[in-house]
Amino acid sequence: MRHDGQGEGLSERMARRLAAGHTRRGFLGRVGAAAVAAASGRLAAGAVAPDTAEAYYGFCGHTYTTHACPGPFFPPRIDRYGFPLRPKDGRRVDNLGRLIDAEGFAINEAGDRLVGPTGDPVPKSPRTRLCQDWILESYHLHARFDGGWYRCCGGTIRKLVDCCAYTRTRINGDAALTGYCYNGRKVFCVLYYQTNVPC
Amino acid sequence: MVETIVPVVHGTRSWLISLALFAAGATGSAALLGLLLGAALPDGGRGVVAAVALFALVEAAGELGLVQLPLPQLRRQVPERWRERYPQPLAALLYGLGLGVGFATYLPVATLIVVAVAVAALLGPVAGAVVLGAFGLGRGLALAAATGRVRSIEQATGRVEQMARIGGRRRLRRLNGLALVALSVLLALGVDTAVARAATQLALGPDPVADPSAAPNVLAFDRINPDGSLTGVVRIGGVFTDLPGNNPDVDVDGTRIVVDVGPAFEIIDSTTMAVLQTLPLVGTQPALSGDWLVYRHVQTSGRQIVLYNLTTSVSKVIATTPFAADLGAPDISYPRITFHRTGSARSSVVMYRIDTGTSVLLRSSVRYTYSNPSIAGTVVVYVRQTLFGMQLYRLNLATGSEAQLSAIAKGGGRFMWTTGITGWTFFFTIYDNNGGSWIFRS
Repeated sequence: MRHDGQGEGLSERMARRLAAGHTRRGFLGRVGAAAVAAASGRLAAGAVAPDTAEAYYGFCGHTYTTHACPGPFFPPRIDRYGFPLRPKDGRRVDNLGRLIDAEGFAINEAGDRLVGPTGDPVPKSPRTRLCQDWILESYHLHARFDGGWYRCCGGTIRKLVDCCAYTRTRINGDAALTGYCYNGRKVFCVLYYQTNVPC
Repeated sequence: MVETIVPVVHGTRSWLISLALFAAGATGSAALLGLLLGAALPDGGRGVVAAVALFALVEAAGELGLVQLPLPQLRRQVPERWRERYPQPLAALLYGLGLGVGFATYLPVATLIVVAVAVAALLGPVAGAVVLGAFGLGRGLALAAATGRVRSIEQATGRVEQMARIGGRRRLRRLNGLALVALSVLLALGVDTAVARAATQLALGPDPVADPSAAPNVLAFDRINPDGSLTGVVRIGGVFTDLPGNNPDVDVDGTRIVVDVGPAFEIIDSTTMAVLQTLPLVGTQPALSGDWLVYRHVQTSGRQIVLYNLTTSVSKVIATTPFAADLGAPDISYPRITFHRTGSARSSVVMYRIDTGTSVLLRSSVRYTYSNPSIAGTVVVYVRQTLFGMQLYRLNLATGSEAQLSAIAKGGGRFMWTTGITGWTFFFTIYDNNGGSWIFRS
């Protein structure tokens, strides 16, 4: 099995477009994004530009405006420590979104290592914490998890995790909110953690 | 010509139409010239950028009166009979077409020549059309400035004479000379980041190929056989020769090649193909430079990069990782060795110096993946993989400058693999999921 490119699902892309295309006052767009998000079973619709600051995101009845933290998938699903997981099944992925084996090498769905044209494994990728490690390197902010929102999603509790830092600007580019951050930190970006707690 | 288009002759409406047609003609013909010039030559690399920078400096000296330089121009004006023979809008269009070319009439300054040379040497057809199209548009704007709000023929004549006086003044040429100096400086600053943007796929036979290693006039690589096995091949002067092993690496001067024959490494004379030395070393992916050989080795404790001195037969482990980390194939250009090291927390391009015994991280990230660096002298080429795709980068250790040489967007089904370098020529492998694998030169 050769290299496995990772892509977004169709519904996820639709949700992104919808969210990107409406504003705070665009009720229909908001409803549409929420509908697509609900239908896809994903968190919801992220907008990258140009009006990210005014875009709404949401999942399972919860609506919010802070954009997701950078990661291999949108929205980024993490394990309890903050490392990336594949949203659809919670399997471990590396920073490029590839499934990995116990040693961290990229594998295909069957569990075989991905190899290049000469039969050698494709280069390994790091697997680092999306909030603590990525935000530090990308934005030079010492970010950490504080509080979060909980909703019932797909039969189990899903936690929208606030990635907080000492910053006045959030990832959207506008003013950061206090959210569930403590000690003067504010929400820089958000991720989610899907628990096994039934609801 | 200017006096023909002034509004007092045919009224404001005709003036506007003529002005628009003149601007369209000038922009169109200038863009066409840029298109042709841009398509005339392939995009140049750093040497060509340096040459154009020098040319701009020489022409600047001419503009500043320091040297006497000829101007390639036709010493004539646009045909006056056109305004008598054709309606004013058509005449304006023809005048625009003629003047947009630039070189068809008098050239008061040398700027256009420098720009035209730069377009031919450095840009492609589309960019060339845009750049010279702007020159044509500028001619249209100059005409608008010369004829706008003119109330009488006398005023028009006065405006033309005034413009001629401005054009004839020494300070205009000085200003132009300074602009060319600025252009030269900008180009000189950009020399180090200049890249030949078009990567060329090399014709290396019908089978998939990978793992390039190069020296002047020598290219070694792996041919991927239908059964998946590898055969080392060397191309010297257009002649392909199979090697007795795989993973070939060419010495910096191209006189020797090291291959992995399984139980040993063999060093081969690239001219006679005679085996110069057989080294019973256990490892893979050897690389050779002068008296030094470097290769990957797997121990029970993990992966290693081993440095071997061909003269003293002394080995030294220069990097070690556990099995959970990735230690990439090394490349060597004495006294430097490069390889990639990727663990769960970080991916890095590492450089080890033989003379000092120290290692530094040339590039390192907790987010991206770095892989397959190659080195020649003080220039390193490597692959970076992000969420958006893969990019080939060149890093100049002498200046610290970095430039992207090629890129593949994510989702296209093609991926970058190993690299090679000789001088300022870069090689890299691209493969797909259907068994295709090719070597490109940038």
